[in-house]
Amino acid sequence: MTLVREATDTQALSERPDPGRQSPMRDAEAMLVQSLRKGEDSGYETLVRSFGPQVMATARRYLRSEADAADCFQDTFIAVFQSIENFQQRSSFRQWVRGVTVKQCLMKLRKRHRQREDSIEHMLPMFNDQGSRVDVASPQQRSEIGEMLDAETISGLVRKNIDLLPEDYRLVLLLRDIDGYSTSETASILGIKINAVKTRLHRARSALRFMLEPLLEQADCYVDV
Amino acid sequence: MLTCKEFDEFMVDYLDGALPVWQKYMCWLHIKMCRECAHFIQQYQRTVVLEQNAFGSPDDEVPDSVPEELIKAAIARRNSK
Repeated sequence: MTLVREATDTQALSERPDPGRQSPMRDAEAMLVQSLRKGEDSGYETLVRSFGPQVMATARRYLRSEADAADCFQDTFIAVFQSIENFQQRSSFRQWVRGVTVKQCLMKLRKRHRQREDSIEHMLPMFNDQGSRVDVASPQQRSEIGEMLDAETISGLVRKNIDLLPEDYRLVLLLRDIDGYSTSETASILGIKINAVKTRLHRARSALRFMLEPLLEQADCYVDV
Repeated sequence: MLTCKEFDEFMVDYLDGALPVWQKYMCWLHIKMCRECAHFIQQYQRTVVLEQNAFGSPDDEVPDSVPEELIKAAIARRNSK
């Protein structure tokens, strides 16, 4: 099983070919882009109303603050409008807007004062001197979940635990596992080395696995190694 | 055979299908021989599936959840530029 989603965005937030898109959607997007390039008010309103939910969902995911997400929402549409000439239609417009949104979120996060973060070291895999795995199961946590949880509750717990990860790890996890950027794209977006992306991703997933361990046995998701 | 620690270092590339054939085989063999790592990687993969289920695909339709005042503010802000 390959855990990378089919990559949906571009080389460091630029564009990638997207041959599978339906043509009616393409046509609507092309008209919207044309309208934005002409600077039409109606085009801008259509942009905000059509792409608002997508932009807001992305901003909420990255920023974890409703106020910051609202700021980012406005900044993103201004940025889309101001950089519309850079959209060269090698990807879908939707994908390009998502790239602009992520970029705005990262800019906002860089400006924000970073809060003190808890270490995740104790959640990572441990090995003995022979290099064999030492079980780091958390029986205390496991005992906290006695009843079967529905899918929505599980998803809420997963989102909450992702938010608990230190920022550097959380961002790599979101870019790679949720937004579908490749390892090299993630490295380029964050300005870090490819090996750093792999290390952070592995640590983020391992820590999350530790936090979610009580849920993993009952979660309805089959995987084949 | 790889140690668990060595296998752990390859895990991201192994699941990405990014390893050369020989290393991929060594990882596969390790999983077959090591119950602890087989259990770990299964939980690790489930974790990623849960992450993706929790947020949905970035291409999914998103429920309309933007306050009208925010939409109006974004439109007004462009007009003021």
